[in-house]
Amino acid sequence: MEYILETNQLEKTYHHFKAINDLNMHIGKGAIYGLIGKNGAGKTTLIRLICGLQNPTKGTYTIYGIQNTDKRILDVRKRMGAIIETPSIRLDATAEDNLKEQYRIMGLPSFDNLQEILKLVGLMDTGKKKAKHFSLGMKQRLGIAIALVGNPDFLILDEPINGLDPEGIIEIRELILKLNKEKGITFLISSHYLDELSKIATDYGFIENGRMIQEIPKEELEKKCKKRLELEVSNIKECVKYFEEKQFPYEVISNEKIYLYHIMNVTELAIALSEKNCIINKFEEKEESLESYYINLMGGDNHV
Amino acid sequence: MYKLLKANFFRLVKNKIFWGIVIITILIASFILLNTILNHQGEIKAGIDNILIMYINFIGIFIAMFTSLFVGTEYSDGALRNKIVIGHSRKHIYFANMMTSIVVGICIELIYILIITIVGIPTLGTLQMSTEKFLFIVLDIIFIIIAYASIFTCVTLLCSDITVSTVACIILVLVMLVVSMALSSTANATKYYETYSQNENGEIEVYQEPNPDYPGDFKKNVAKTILYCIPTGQASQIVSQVNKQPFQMIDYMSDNELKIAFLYSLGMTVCITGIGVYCFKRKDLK
Repeated sequence: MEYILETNQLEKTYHHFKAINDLNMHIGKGAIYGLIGKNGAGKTTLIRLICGLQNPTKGTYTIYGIQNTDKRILDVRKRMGAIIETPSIRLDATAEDNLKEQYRIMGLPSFDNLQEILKLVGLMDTGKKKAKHFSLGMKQRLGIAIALVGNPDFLILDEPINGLDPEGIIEIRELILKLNKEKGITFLISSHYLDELSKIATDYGFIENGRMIQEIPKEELEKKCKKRLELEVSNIKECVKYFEEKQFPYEVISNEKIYLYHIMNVTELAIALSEKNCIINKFEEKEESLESYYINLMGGDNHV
Repeated sequence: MYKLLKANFFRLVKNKIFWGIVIITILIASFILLNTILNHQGEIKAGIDNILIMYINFIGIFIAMFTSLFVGTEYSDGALRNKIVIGHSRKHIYFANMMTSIVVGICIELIYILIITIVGIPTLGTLQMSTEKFLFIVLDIIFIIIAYASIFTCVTLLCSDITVSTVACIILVLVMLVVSMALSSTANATKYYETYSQNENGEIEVYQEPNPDYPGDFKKNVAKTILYCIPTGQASQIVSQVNKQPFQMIDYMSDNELKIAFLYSLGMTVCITGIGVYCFKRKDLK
């Protein structure tokens, strides 16, 4: 798989505090990667490292295959954009002037696509209104518009919906999906809002105390979060054979434990398995949301 | 770096701080001119030497204000972060900001000189000093501006808070002024001073007597070197040298020293910029 971003045992230490600790992350091309972690887990620090605002203490990262220690990393960065915490905008300038400045900073010869970008983020009609008079959602969209100058194919958004009203959240969500689908832009999005993230992310990374606890694609996570029967059986081989025969989706966890992702009557199942010399010792019906999955993953007593 | 400079200059055109400083410069030049013209009414034209270079005494505070606010805004609105994210090197960002401050410094100094020259020459007379000396003074002034810009760019880029960096830059100018004043008596002390007495024939005789407060050659040279390295110190020395009265027993900057004074500013600039770039490249940005 082609990775846009890879980190390899990345570490960032402030004095004696390890903000990022031996972190490995992989973001595939075209993905919307949701970075999930509680406050102080290291999300923003990780983004700052990737964006070149801070240098790693140990470890490396590669963007489009170019390592951070390579001088060519500066050229590669031209293909990315980012909004870290707050959008980088000139408050005393209009949306158009903000974009024009970005064109100049990037050394682009003309203001081609400027109107197209404004239209894309829905800021076409702001005219001479200065950015300081924009709503929070408009500022966030302007930040994304600035990041879109130069046609990047990798965007990093740190907490993009923080402080937005429901309408603003929907606007940003739709914009991200549109950019991902129409322009093929890869996203790295950190957020506290798990439910919101679950509506757009194609991959997830769970981070805790500066460590990557788990990276998981959406499909796999959905499978894990799906309603299931958690069974402890006496004869796992016969049980598997039965599920194969019936073409029920399942997952073997151990020699005794198996998850069945097919909701059926437990009595019927128990009878069917007993005919195959397999007894159900314990069963539990479970269904997880992204939030409960996250909390279970983090040990149950942490909260986002 | 050209792209960053271009973006900075476009921003400059719409920058209120820059235009505010330009207006203040025009007001200062007009006030100094008017004051000098009124004081010299009916006298022989004394020339514009004294007032032409006077602005270098004020320019530090304006460069401090401009640099800390203009460059500081880069931090506060996230533009600096944005430049790094899209692949501009920190070294280029540093030099582009420093160059912008230098250009602004030279620009306001030029505005002042132009006003004094255009209005001052017809009313107060032409330059009394030699063209060669004037050109060396201009060279020194340019390097003093560069030194100021390097100091304030360094402070502003190493301090992420715009309020703190603005206060720090202004305090720094004041500290440099105080240090310059404190050092000037040591640096300008003469070995001897002249006493005058009348002999029996009624003639005035001049005697040279040792100065009891003379700090010694070593101390004097150290004080002088520090004074020339500090932009405020060098500026005050140049202004005092031009304004020096014939009988003053103060050892101001000599004409030869005037010719090489820019080297002190250059040395200061290289050291400060070297330290600034080194630290800025390693600074953790938020």
